[in-house]
Amino acid sequence: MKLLWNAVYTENRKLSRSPVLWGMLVFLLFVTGIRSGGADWNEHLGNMSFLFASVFGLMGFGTITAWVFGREYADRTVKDLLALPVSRTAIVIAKGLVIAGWCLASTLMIFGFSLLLGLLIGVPGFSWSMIMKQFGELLLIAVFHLLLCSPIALLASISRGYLVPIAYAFTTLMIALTAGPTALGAYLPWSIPALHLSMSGLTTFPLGKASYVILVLVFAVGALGTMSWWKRADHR
Amino acid sequence: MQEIIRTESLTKRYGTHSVLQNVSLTVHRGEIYGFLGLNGAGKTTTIRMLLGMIRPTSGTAYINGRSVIEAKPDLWQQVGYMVETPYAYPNFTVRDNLRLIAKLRGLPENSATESVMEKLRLTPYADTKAKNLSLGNAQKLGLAKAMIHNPSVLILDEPTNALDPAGIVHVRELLRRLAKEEGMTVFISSHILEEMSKLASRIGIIHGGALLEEISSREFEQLRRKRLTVKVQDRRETASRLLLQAGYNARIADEGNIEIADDEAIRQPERVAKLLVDADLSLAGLTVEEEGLESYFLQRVSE
Repeated sequence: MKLLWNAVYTENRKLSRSPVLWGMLVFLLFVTGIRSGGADWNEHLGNMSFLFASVFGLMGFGTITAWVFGREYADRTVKDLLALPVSRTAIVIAKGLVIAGWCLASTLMIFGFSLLLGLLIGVPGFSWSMIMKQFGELLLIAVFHLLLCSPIALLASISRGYLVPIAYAFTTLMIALTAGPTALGAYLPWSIPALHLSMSGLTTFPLGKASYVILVLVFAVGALGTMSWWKRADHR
Repeated sequence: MQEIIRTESLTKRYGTHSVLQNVSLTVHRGEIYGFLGLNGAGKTTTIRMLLGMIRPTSGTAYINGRSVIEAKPDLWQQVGYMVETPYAYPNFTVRDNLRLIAKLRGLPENSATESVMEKLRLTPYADTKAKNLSLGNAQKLGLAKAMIHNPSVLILDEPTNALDPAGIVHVRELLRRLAKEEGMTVFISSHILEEMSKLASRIGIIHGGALLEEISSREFEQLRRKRLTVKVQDRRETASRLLLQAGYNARIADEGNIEIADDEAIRQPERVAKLLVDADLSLAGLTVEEEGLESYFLQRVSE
Protein backbone atom coordinates (compact mmCIF):
# COMPACT_ATOMS: atom_id res chain seq x y z
CA MET A 1 0.00 0.00 0.00
CA LYS A 2 2.85 2.33 0.88
CA LEU A 3 4.44 1.70 -2.51
CA LEU A 4 1.14 2.48 -4.25
CA TRP A 5 0.97 5.72 -2.30
CA ASN A 6 4.57 6.48 -3.34
CA ALA A 7 3.60 5.90 -6.97
CA VAL A 8 0.58 8.21 -6.59
CA TYR A 9 2.86 10.82 -5.03
CA THR A 10 5.38 10.71 -7.90
CA GLU A 11 2.69 10.66 -10.58
CA ASN A 12 1.07 13.66 -8.95
CA ARG A 13 4.39 15.47 -8.85
CA LYS A 14 4.92 14.80 -12.55
CA LEU A 15 1.46 15.90 -13.62
CA SER A 16 1.18 18.91 -11.33
CA ARG A 17 4.40 20.31 -12.83
CA SER A 18 3.31 19.67 -16.37
CA PRO A 19 2.51 22.60 -18.68
CA VAL A 20 -0.12 20.42 -20.37
CA LEU A 21 -2.29 20.33 -17.24
CA TRP A 22 -2.13 24.05 -16.58
CA GLY A 23 -2.39 24.97 -20.26
CA MET A 24 -5.50 22.81 -20.55
CA LEU A 25 -6.98 24.36 -17.41
CA VAL A 26 -6.40 27.90 -18.70
CA PHE A 27 -8.03 26.94 -22.01
CA LEU A 28 -11.08 25.44 -20.27
CA LEU A 29 -11.42 28.50 -18.03
CA PHE A 30 -11.19 30.76 -21.08
CA VAL A 31 -13.93 28.85 -22.92
CA THR A 32 -16.05 28.82 -19.76
CA GLY A 33 -15.60 32.59 -19.54
CA ILE A 34 -16.72 33.32 -23.08
CA ARG A 35 -19.75 31.03 -22.77
CA SER A 36 -20.92 32.59 -19.50
CA GLY A 37 -24.15 34.41 -18.85
CA GLY A 38 -27.79 33.70 -19.61
CA ALA A 39 -31.32 34.51 -18.55
CA ASP A 40 -30.86 32.84 -15.17
CA TRP A 41 -28.44 30.69 -13.16
CA ASN A 42 -29.89 27.53 -14.65
CA GLU A 43 -28.91 28.66 -18.12
CA HIS A 44 -25.57 30.12 -16.99
CA LEU A 45 -24.42 26.94 -15.24
CA GLY A 46 -26.18 24.75 -17.83
CA ASN A 47 -23.93 26.23 -20.54
CA MET A 48 -20.89 25.25 -18.55
CA SER A 49 -22.24 21.75 -17.81
CA PHE A 50 -22.96 21.19 -21.49
CA LEU A 51 -19.36 22.10 -22.30
CA PHE A 52 -18.28 19.46 -19.78
CA ALA A 53 -20.63 16.89 -21.26
CA SER A 54 -18.94 17.25 -24.64
CA VAL A 55 -15.71 19.16 -25.37
CA PHE A 56 -14.29 19.50 -21.85
CA GLY A 57 -14.90 15.88 -20.96
CA LEU A 58 -13.84 14.19 -24.17
CA MET A 59 -11.00 16.49 -25.20
CA GLY A 60 -9.93 17.99 -21.84
CA PHE A 61 -9.90 14.82 -19.75
CA GLY A 62 -8.78 12.86 -22.80
CA THR A 63 -5.74 15.06 -23.38
CA ILE A 64 -4.68 14.84 -19.75
CA THR A 65 -4.98 11.05 -19.83
CA ALA A 66 -3.12 10.85 -23.13
CA TRP A 67 -0.36 13.01 -21.67
CA VAL A 68 0.03 11.10 -18.39
CA PHE A 69 0.48 7.78 -20.18
CA GLY A 70 1.90 8.97 -23.50
CA ARG A 71 4.64 11.17 -22.08
CA GLU A 72 6.41 8.15 -20.60
CA TYR A 73 6.90 6.92 -24.16
CA ALA A 74 7.59 10.33 -25.70
CA ASP A 75 10.16 11.11 -22.98
CA ARG A 76 11.37 7.48 -23.14
CA THR A 77 11.10 7.19 -19.38
CA VAL A 78 8.69 4.24 -19.40
CA LYS A 79 11.54 1.74 -18.99
CA ASP A 80 12.34 3.34 -15.61
CA LEU A 81 8.89 2.28 -14.40
CA LEU A 82 8.96 -1.36 -15.47
CA ALA A 83 11.33 -3.06 -13.04
CA LEU A 84 10.65 -1.44 -9.68
CA PRO A 85 9.59 -2.76 -6.28
CA VAL A 86 6.20 -1.22 -7.05
CA SER A 87 4.25 -3.35 -9.53
CA ARG A 88 3.36 -2.16 -13.01
CA THR A 89 -0.32 -2.57 -12.12
CA ALA A 90 0.19 -0.20 -9.19
CA ILE A 91 1.86 2.31 -11.52
CA VAL A 92 -1.15 2.19 -13.86
CA ILE A 93 -3.57 2.54 -10.92
CA ALA A 94 -1.52 5.46 -9.57
CA LYS A 95 -1.67 7.20 -12.92
CA GLY A 96 -5.43 6.62 -13.06
CA LEU A 97 -5.93 8.00 -9.55
CA VAL A 98 -3.90 11.11 -10.32
CA ILE A 99 -5.79 11.69 -13.59
CA ALA A 100 -9.11 11.31 -11.74
CA GLY A 101 -7.94 13.60 -8.96
CA TRP A 102 -6.81 16.38 -11.27
CA CYS A 103 -9.80 16.09 -13.60
CA LEU A 104 -12.15 16.37 -10.63
CA ALA A 105 -10.09 19.24 -9.23
CA SER A 106 -10.31 20.97 -12.64
CA THR A 107 -14.07 20.43 -12.58
CA LEU A 108 -14.28 22.07 -9.15
CA MET A 109 -12.11 24.98 -10.27
CA ILE A 110 -14.18 25.58 -13.38
CA PHE A 111 -17.42 25.32 -11.41
CA GLY A 112 -16.06 27.82 -8.88
CA PHE A 113 -14.92 30.10 -11.70
CA SER A 114 -18.34 29.91 -13.35
CA LEU A 115 -20.01 30.67 -10.01
CA LEU A 116 -17.77 33.69 -9.51
CA LEU A 117 -18.43 34.95 -13.03
CA GLY A 118 -22.18 34.55 -12.54
CA LEU A 119 -22.02 36.63 -9.37
CA LEU A 120 -19.81 39.27 -11.03
CA ILE A 121 -22.01 39.72 -14.07
CA GLY A 122 -25.16 39.60 -11.93
CA VAL A 123 -26.97 36.59 -13.37
CA PRO A 124 -30.50 36.64 -11.87
CA GLY A 125 -32.31 33.87 -9.97
CA PHE A 126 -29.56 32.63 -7.59
CA SER A 127 -30.56 29.83 -5.25
CA TRP A 128 -28.37 27.40 -3.27
CA SER A 129 -30.61 24.42 -3.97
CA MET A 130 -30.32 24.98 -7.72
CA ILE A 131 -26.54 25.50 -7.44
CA MET A 132 -26.14 22.24 -5.51
CA LYS A 133 -28.29 20.40 -8.05
CA GLN A 134 -26.19 21.73 -10.92
CA PHE A 135 -23.02 20.84 -9.04
CA GLY A 136 -24.23 17.26 -8.47
CA GLU A 137 -25.05 16.88 -12.15
CA LEU A 138 -21.69 18.29 -13.16
CA LEU A 139 -19.83 15.86 -10.89
CA LEU A 140 -21.78 12.95 -12.36
CA ILE A 141 -20.93 14.08 -15.89
CA ALA A 142 -17.26 14.38 -14.88
CA VAL A 143 -17.32 10.83 -13.50
CA PHE A 144 -18.90 9.54 -16.73
CA HIS A 145 -16.12 11.14 -18.73
CA LEU A 146 -13.47 9.73 -16.43
CA LEU A 147 -14.89 6.28 -17.19
CA LEU A 148 -14.40 7.04 -20.89
CA CYS A 149 -10.72 7.91 -20.37
CA SER A 150 -9.45 4.38 -19.80
CA PRO A 151 -9.34 3.41 -23.52
CA ILE A 152 -7.24 6.52 -24.06
CA ALA A 153 -4.70 5.19 -21.55
CA LEU A 154 -4.69 1.88 -23.39
CA LEU A 155 -4.21 3.56 -26.77
CA ALA A 156 -1.37 5.73 -25.43
CA SER A 157 0.35 2.60 -24.15
CA ILE A 158 -0.14 0.59 -27.32
CA SER A 159 0.82 3.45 -29.66
CA ARG A 160 3.70 4.51 -27.35
CA GLY A 161 2.87 8.19 -27.37
CA TYR A 162 0.13 10.78 -26.98
CA LEU A 163 -0.73 11.66 -30.58
CA VAL A 164 -2.87 8.61 -31.37
CA PRO A 165 -4.95 8.86 -28.17
CA ILE A 166 -5.49 12.60 -28.70
CA ALA A 167 -6.62 11.87 -32.27
CA TYR A 168 -8.92 9.20 -30.83
CA ALA A 169 -10.35 11.70 -28.31
CA PHE A 170 -10.99 14.18 -31.11
CA THR A 171 -12.68 11.50 -33.21
CA THR A 172 -14.94 10.49 -30.31
CA LEU A 173 -15.94 14.14 -29.93
CA MET A 174 -16.89 14.28 -33.61
CA ILE A 175 -18.87 11.06 -33.28
CA ALA A 176 -20.63 12.37 -30.16
CA LEU A 177 -21.59 15.62 -31.86
CA THR A 178 -22.79 14.02 -35.10
CA ALA A 179 -24.33 10.72 -33.98
CA GLY A 180 -25.34 11.82 -30.47
CA PRO A 181 -28.72 13.26 -31.46
CA THR A 182 -29.71 10.09 -33.38
CA ALA A 183 -31.43 6.99 -31.99
CA LEU A 184 -28.00 5.43 -31.57
CA GLY A 185 -26.89 8.19 -29.19
CA ALA A 186 -27.93 6.41 -25.99
CA TYR A 187 -25.68 3.49 -26.91
CA LEU A 188 -22.65 5.44 -28.07
CA PRO A 189 -20.40 5.80 -25.03
CA TRP A 190 -19.19 9.27 -25.99
CA SER A 191 -22.64 10.80 -26.43
CA ILE A 192 -24.12 9.27 -23.28
CA PRO A 193 -22.91 12.06 -20.91
CA ALA A 194 -24.47 14.80 -23.06
CA LEU A 195 -27.74 12.88 -23.49
CA HIS A 196 -27.80 12.21 -19.76
CA LEU A 197 -27.38 15.92 -19.09
CA SER A 198 -30.07 16.95 -21.54
CA MET A 199 -32.60 14.67 -19.81
CA SER A 200 -31.37 15.04 -16.24
CA GLY A 201 -34.26 17.27 -15.18
CA LEU A 202 -36.46 14.18 -15.03
CA THR A 203 -34.58 11.80 -12.70
CA THR A 204 -31.00 11.30 -11.50
CA PHE A 205 -30.39 8.58 -14.11
CA PRO A 206 -32.75 9.40 -16.98
CA LEU A 207 -31.26 7.04 -19.59
CA GLY A 208 -31.83 3.31 -19.77
CA LYS A 209 -29.63 1.02 -17.69
CA ALA A 210 -27.84 -0.13 -20.83
CA SER A 211 -26.31 3.32 -21.34
CA TYR A 212 -24.71 3.36 -17.89
CA VAL A 213 -23.61 -0.26 -18.22
CA ILE A 214 -21.90 0.67 -21.51
CA LEU A 215 -19.90 3.37 -19.71
CA VAL A 216 -18.78 0.90 -17.04
CA LEU A 217 -17.92 -1.70 -19.67
CA VAL A 218 -15.85 0.79 -21.67
CA PHE A 219 -13.99 1.69 -18.47
CA ALA A 220 -13.41 -1.96 -17.59
CA VAL A 221 -12.10 -2.82 -21.04
CA GLY A 222 -9.76 0.19 -21.08
CA ALA A 223 -8.53 -0.22 -17.50
CA LEU A 224 -7.99 -3.99 -17.62
CA GLY A 225 -6.48 -3.66 -21.10
CA THR A 226 -4.01 -1.01 -19.94
CA MET A 227 -2.97 -2.99 -16.85
CA SER A 228 -2.61 -6.14 -18.91
CA TRP A 229 -0.57 -4.29 -21.55
CA TRP A 230 1.83 -2.87 -18.99
CA LYS A 231 2.15 -6.24 -17.30
CA ARG A 232 2.36 -8.62 -20.23
CA ALA A 233 3.30 -6.84 -23.45
CA ASP A 234 6.88 -6.77 -24.73
CA HIS A 235 8.34 -3.38 -23.86
CA ARG A 236 10.89 -2.91 -26.60
CA MET B 1 30.35 -19.32 -6.04
CA GLN B 2 26.78 -18.04 -5.70
CA GLU B 3 24.87 -17.70 -8.98
CA ILE B 4 23.16 -14.32 -9.22
CA ILE B 5 22.08 -14.14 -12.86
CA ARG B 6 21.28 -17.21 -14.92
CA THR B 7 19.58 -17.64 -18.24
CA GLU B 8 18.48 -21.00 -19.56
CA SER B 9 18.16 -21.29 -23.33
CA LEU B 10 16.67 -17.82 -23.71
CA THR B 11 15.06 -17.59 -27.11
CA LYS B 12 13.05 -14.80 -28.69
CA ARG B 13 11.28 -14.88 -32.01
CA TYR B 14 9.06 -12.25 -33.59
CA GLY B 15 7.01 -14.25 -36.09
CA THR B 16 9.58 -16.14 -38.10
CA HIS B 17 12.35 -13.67 -37.26
CA SER B 18 14.62 -15.01 -34.60
CA VAL B 19 16.30 -12.39 -32.40
CA LEU B 20 17.85 -14.59 -29.74
CA GLN B 21 18.63 -18.28 -29.80
CA ASN B 22 19.28 -20.47 -26.77
CA VAL B 23 21.32 -17.98 -24.78
CA SER B 24 22.46 -19.64 -21.57
CA LEU B 25 24.80 -17.78 -19.30
CA THR B 26 25.63 -17.50 -15.65
CA VAL B 27 26.97 -14.59 -13.65
CA HIS B 28 28.29 -15.13 -10.14
CA ARG B 29 28.31 -12.86 -7.13
CA GLY B 30 30.91 -10.09 -7.32
CA GLU B 31 31.58 -10.72 -10.99
CA ILE B 32 31.65 -8.04 -13.69
CA TYR B 33 30.27 -9.76 -16.76
CA GLY B 34 30.94 -7.98 -20.04
CA PHE B 35 28.40 -8.76 -22.71
CA LEU B 36 29.89 -7.98 -26.10
CA GLY B 37 28.21 -7.82 -29.43
CA LEU B 38 27.73 -5.73 -32.53
CA ASN B 39 24.63 -3.59 -32.95
CA GLY B 40 21.61 -5.87 -33.42
CA ALA B 41 23.42 -8.87 -31.97
CA GLY B 42 20.80 -9.32 -29.24
CA LYS B 43 22.44 -7.53 -26.29
CA THR B 44 19.55 -5.21 -25.47
CA THR B 45 16.95 -7.94 -26.03
CA THR B 46 18.81 -10.14 -23.54
CA ILE B 47 18.99 -7.29 -21.04
CA ARG B 48 15.31 -6.50 -21.42
CA MET B 49 14.54 -10.16 -20.83
CA LEU B 50 16.70 -10.13 -17.70
CA LEU B 51 14.56 -7.23 -16.50
CA GLY B 52 11.25 -8.83 -17.41
CA MET B 53 10.49 -6.19 -20.05
CA ILE B 54 10.34 -8.75 -22.86
CA ARG B 55 8.89 -12.22 -22.48
CA PRO B 56 11.04 -14.99 -23.91
CA THR B 57 9.50 -17.21 -26.57
CA SER B 58 11.16 -20.03 -24.66
CA GLY B 59 13.71 -20.33 -21.90
CA THR B 60 13.90 -18.57 -18.55
CA ALA B 61 15.91 -15.82 -16.93
CA TYR B 62 16.66 -15.98 -13.21
CA ILE B 63 17.95 -13.36 -10.81
CA ASN B 64 18.87 -14.53 -7.32
CA GLY B 65 17.29 -17.85 -8.25
CA ARG B 66 13.88 -16.32 -9.04
CA SER B 67 12.31 -16.36 -12.47
CA VAL B 68 12.03 -12.73 -13.51
CA ILE B 69 8.71 -13.23 -15.31
CA GLU B 70 7.02 -14.93 -12.38
CA ALA B 71 8.69 -13.05 -9.53
CA LYS B 72 6.91 -10.45 -7.41
CA PRO B 73 8.08 -6.84 -7.71
CA ASP B 74 10.21 -7.09 -4.56
CA LEU B 75 12.81 -8.87 -6.74
CA TRP B 76 13.71 -5.45 -8.17
CA GLN B 77 14.53 -4.07 -4.71
CA GLN B 78 18.05 -5.41 -5.15
CA VAL B 79 18.43 -4.74 -8.87
CA GLY B 80 19.52 -1.52 -10.53
CA TYR B 81 19.42 -1.08 -14.26
CA MET B 82 19.97 1.19 -17.20
CA VAL B 83 18.68 0.17 -20.60
CA GLU B 84 20.01 1.78 -23.77
CA THR B 85 20.35 5.57 -23.88
CA PRO B 86 19.22 6.93 -20.53
CA TYR B 87 16.39 9.45 -20.56
CA ALA B 88 14.86 11.51 -17.79
CA TYR B 89 11.91 13.89 -17.38
CA PRO B 90 13.27 16.82 -19.38
CA ASN B 91 11.73 19.64 -17.34
CA PHE B 92 12.83 18.18 -14.02
CA THR B 93 16.25 18.89 -12.58
CA VAL B 94 18.77 16.14 -11.90
CA ARG B 95 17.83 16.27 -8.21
CA ASP B 96 14.09 16.11 -8.94
CA ASN B 97 14.49 13.19 -11.34
CA LEU B 98 16.44 11.28 -8.72
CA ARG B 99 13.92 12.12 -6.02
CA LEU B 100 11.16 10.62 -8.14
CA ILE B 101 13.06 7.35 -8.43
CA ALA B 102 13.98 7.41 -4.73
CA LYS B 103 10.33 7.83 -3.80
CA LEU B 104 9.23 5.03 -6.14
CA ARG B 105 11.79 2.75 -4.56
CA GLY B 106 10.64 3.71 -1.07
CA LEU B 107 13.97 5.35 -0.14
CA PRO B 108 14.53 8.46 1.98
CA GLU B 109 14.42 11.00 -0.87
CA ASN B 110 16.97 13.56 0.30
CA SER B 111 19.73 11.35 1.63
CA ALA B 112 19.52 8.78 -1.20
CA THR B 113 19.54 11.52 -3.85
CA GLU B 114 22.41 13.53 -2.38
CA SER B 115 24.48 10.41 -1.76
CA VAL B 116 24.19 9.03 -5.29
CA MET B 117 24.86 12.46 -6.83
CA GLU B 118 28.03 12.62 -4.76
CA LYS B 119 29.01 9.11 -5.83
CA LEU B 120 28.65 9.96 -9.53
CA ARG B 121 29.97 13.52 -9.28
CA LEU B 122 26.64 14.98 -10.31
CA THR B 123 26.28 17.41 -7.41
CA PRO B 124 27.39 20.46 -9.47
CA TYR B 125 24.53 19.70 -11.89
CA ALA B 126 21.90 18.99 -9.21
CA ASP B 127 19.76 21.96 -10.24
CA THR B 128 20.25 21.60 -13.99
CA LYS B 129 17.20 20.49 -15.92
CA ALA B 130 17.65 17.11 -17.56
CA LYS B 131 17.00 18.61 -21.00
CA ASN B 132 20.02 20.90 -20.56
CA LEU B 133 22.48 18.18 -19.55
CA SER B 134 25.37 17.15 -21.76
CA LEU B 135 25.21 13.59 -23.08
CA GLY B 136 27.84 12.52 -20.59
CA ASN B 137 25.98 13.95 -17.61
CA ALA B 138 22.70 12.50 -18.88
CA GLN B 139 24.47 9.15 -18.90
CA LYS B 140 25.64 9.74 -15.34
CA LEU B 141 22.07 10.57 -14.35
CA GLY B 142 20.99 7.24 -15.85
CA LEU B 143 23.67 5.49 -13.81
CA ALA B 144 22.61 7.40 -10.70
CA LYS B 145 19.03 6.20 -11.16
CA ALA B 146 20.35 2.66 -11.46
CA MET B 147 22.51 2.93 -8.35
CA ILE B 148 20.41 5.11 -6.06
CA HIS B 149 19.29 2.17 -3.90
CA ASN B 150 22.75 0.55 -3.61
CA PRO B 151 21.65 -2.57 -5.45
CA SER B 152 23.48 -5.87 -5.19
CA VAL B 153 22.87 -6.52 -8.89
CA LEU B 154 23.51 -3.93 -11.57
CA ILE B 155 22.42 -4.47 -15.17
CA LEU B 156 23.78 -1.84 -17.52
CA ASP B 157 23.35 -1.49 -21.25
CA GLU B 158 26.19 0.46 -22.88
CA PRO B 159 26.78 2.61 -19.77
CA THR B 160 29.92 4.41 -20.89
CA ASN B 161 28.83 5.31 -24.43
CA ALA B 162 28.63 9.06 -24.00
CA LEU B 163 31.10 9.55 -21.16
CA ASP B 164 34.32 11.48 -21.64
CA PRO B 165 37.62 9.70 -20.84
CA ALA B 166 37.65 10.99 -17.25
CA GLY B 167 34.03 9.87 -16.81
CA ILE B 168 34.84 6.42 -18.19
CA VAL B 169 37.73 5.96 -15.78
CA HIS B 170 35.61 7.19 -12.87
CA VAL B 171 32.71 4.83 -13.66
CA ARG B 172 35.10 1.94 -14.29
CA GLU B 173 36.80 2.45 -10.93
CA LEU B 174 33.45 2.85 -9.18
CA LEU B 175 32.08 -0.40 -10.62
CA ARG B 176 35.29 -2.26 -9.85
CA ARG B 177 35.28 -1.03 -6.28
CA LEU B 178 31.62 -1.92 -5.77
CA ALA B 179 32.18 -5.40 -7.20
CA LYS B 180 35.29 -6.00 -5.15
CA GLU B 181 34.38 -4.41 -1.84
CA GLU B 182 30.62 -4.84 -1.72
CA GLY B 183 30.25 -7.97 -3.81
CA MET B 184 28.02 -6.20 -6.32
CA THR B 185 27.31 -8.29 -9.41
CA VAL B 186 27.52 -6.28 -12.62
CA PHE B 187 26.15 -7.34 -16.00
CA ILE B 188 27.30 -4.81 -18.53
CA SER B 189 26.83 -4.75 -22.27
CA SER B 190 29.06 -2.76 -24.53
CA HIS B 191 30.58 -2.49 -27.94
CA ILE B 192 33.52 -0.46 -26.59
CA LEU B 193 35.69 -3.52 -26.50
CA GLU B 194 38.86 -2.18 -24.96
CA GLU B 195 36.82 -0.74 -22.12
CA MET B 196 35.37 -4.18 -21.49
CA SER B 197 38.78 -5.79 -21.46
CA LYS B 198 39.82 -3.34 -18.72
CA LEU B 199 36.67 -3.78 -16.65
CA ALA B 200 35.10 -7.21 -17.02
CA SER B 201 36.18 -10.27 -15.11
CA ARG B 202 34.35 -12.44 -17.64
CA ILE B 203 33.23 -11.74 -21.16
CA GLY B 204 30.43 -13.24 -23.23
CA ILE B 205 30.42 -12.68 -26.97
CA ILE B 206 27.01 -12.60 -28.63
CA HIS B 207 26.55 -12.55 -32.38
CA GLY B 208 23.47 -13.00 -34.51
CA GLY B 209 21.41 -13.73 -31.40
CA ALA B 210 23.63 -16.62 -30.25
CA LEU B 211 26.19 -16.66 -27.45
CA LEU B 212 29.41 -17.56 -29.25
CA GLU B 213 31.78 -17.76 -26.35
CA GLU B 214 32.22 -17.05 -22.65
CA ILE B 215 35.73 -16.33 -21.55
CA SER B 216 37.35 -15.09 -18.38
CA SER B 217 39.70 -12.12 -18.57
CA ARG B 218 42.54 -14.46 -17.54
CA GLU B 219 41.75 -16.86 -20.38
CA PHE B 220 41.59 -13.92 -22.73
CA GLU B 221 45.08 -12.86 -21.67
CA GLN B 222 46.34 -16.31 -22.59
CA LEU B 223 44.39 -16.58 -25.81
CA ARG B 224 45.09 -13.28 -27.41
CA ARG B 225 47.87 -13.26 -29.92
CA LYS B 226 51.07 -11.37 -29.23
CA ARG B 227 53.76 -10.38 -31.70
CA LEU B 228 57.02 -8.50 -31.89
CA THR B 229 57.04 -5.75 -34.51
CA VAL B 230 60.44 -4.76 -35.88
CA LYS B 231 61.05 -1.56 -37.84
CA VAL B 232 64.28 -1.16 -39.79
CA GLN B 233 65.36 1.93 -41.73
CA ASP B 234 66.07 0.02 -44.97
CA ARG B 235 67.16 -3.45 -46.20
CA ARG B 236 63.94 -4.94 -44.92
CA GLU B 237 64.32 -8.18 -46.89
CA THR B 238 67.86 -8.69 -45.58
CA ALA B 239 66.67 -8.23 -42.03
CA SER B 240 63.79 -10.63 -42.52
CA ARG B 241 66.06 -13.25 -44.07
CA LEU B 242 68.52 -12.88 -41.18
CA LEU B 243 65.76 -13.40 -38.63
CA LEU B 244 64.47 -16.46 -40.47
CA GLN B 245 68.00 -17.90 -40.56
CA ALA B 246 68.24 -17.33 -36.80
CA GLY B 247 65.14 -19.50 -36.38
CA TYR B 248 62.53 -16.81 -35.86
CA ASN B 249 59.17 -17.06 -37.60
CA ALA B 250 59.45 -13.61 -39.22
CA ARG B 251 57.34 -12.17 -41.98
CA ILE B 252 57.00 -8.76 -43.63
CA ALA B 253 53.58 -7.34 -42.81
CA ASP B 254 51.44 -5.16 -45.08
CA GLU B 255 52.73 -1.93 -43.57
CA GLY B 256 56.31 -2.98 -44.31
CA ASN B 257 57.22 -3.84 -40.71
CA ILE B 258 58.62 -7.22 -39.80
CA GLU B 259 56.42 -9.27 -37.49
CA ILE B 260 57.62 -12.15 -35.32
CA ALA B 261 55.10 -14.33 -33.50
CA ASP B 262 57.58 -16.58 -31.60
CA ASP B 263 57.19 -16.61 -27.82
CA GLU B 264 60.95 -16.42 -27.42
CA ALA B 265 61.18 -13.20 -29.44
CA ILE B 266 58.31 -11.68 -27.43
CA ARG B 267 59.95 -12.63 -24.14
CA GLN B 268 63.43 -11.49 -25.16
CA PRO B 269 63.19 -8.77 -27.81
CA GLU B 270 66.69 -7.57 -26.94
CA ARG B 271 68.14 -10.67 -28.64
CA VAL B 272 66.39 -9.70 -31.87
CA ALA B 273 67.75 -6.18 -31.52
CA LYS B 274 71.30 -7.46 -30.97
CA LEU B 275 71.08 -9.75 -33.98
CA LEU B 276 70.06 -6.89 -36.27
CA VAL B 277 72.54 -4.36 -34.88
CA ASP B 278 75.41 -6.88 -35.15
CA ALA B 279 74.56 -7.26 -38.84
CA ASP B 280 74.79 -3.46 -39.32
CA LEU B 281 71.07 -3.08 -39.86
CA SER B 282 69.72 0.21 -38.52
CA LEU B 283 66.91 -0.55 -36.10
CA ALA B 284 64.14 2.09 -35.98
CA GLY B 285 61.70 0.42 -33.60
CA LEU B 286 60.95 -2.69 -31.60
CA THR B 287 57.49 -3.15 -30.11
CA VAL B 288 55.68 -6.03 -28.44
CA GLU B 289 52.09 -5.78 -29.61
CA GLU B 290 49.22 -7.67 -28.01
CA GLU B 291 46.06 -8.45 -29.85
CA GLY B 292 43.29 -6.30 -28.49
CA LEU B 293 39.84 -7.47 -27.57
CA GLU B 294 38.63 -5.73 -30.70
CA SER B 295 40.55 -7.88 -33.15
CA TYR B 296 39.89 -11.01 -31.05
CA PHE B 297 36.19 -10.19 -31.12
CA LEU B 298 36.14 -9.49 -34.85
CA GLN B 299 38.01 -12.72 -35.49
CA ARG B 300 35.47 -14.68 -33.39
CA VAL B 301 32.37 -13.16 -35.00
CA SER B 302 33.74 -13.62 -38.51
CA GLU B 303 34.42 -17.34 -37.98
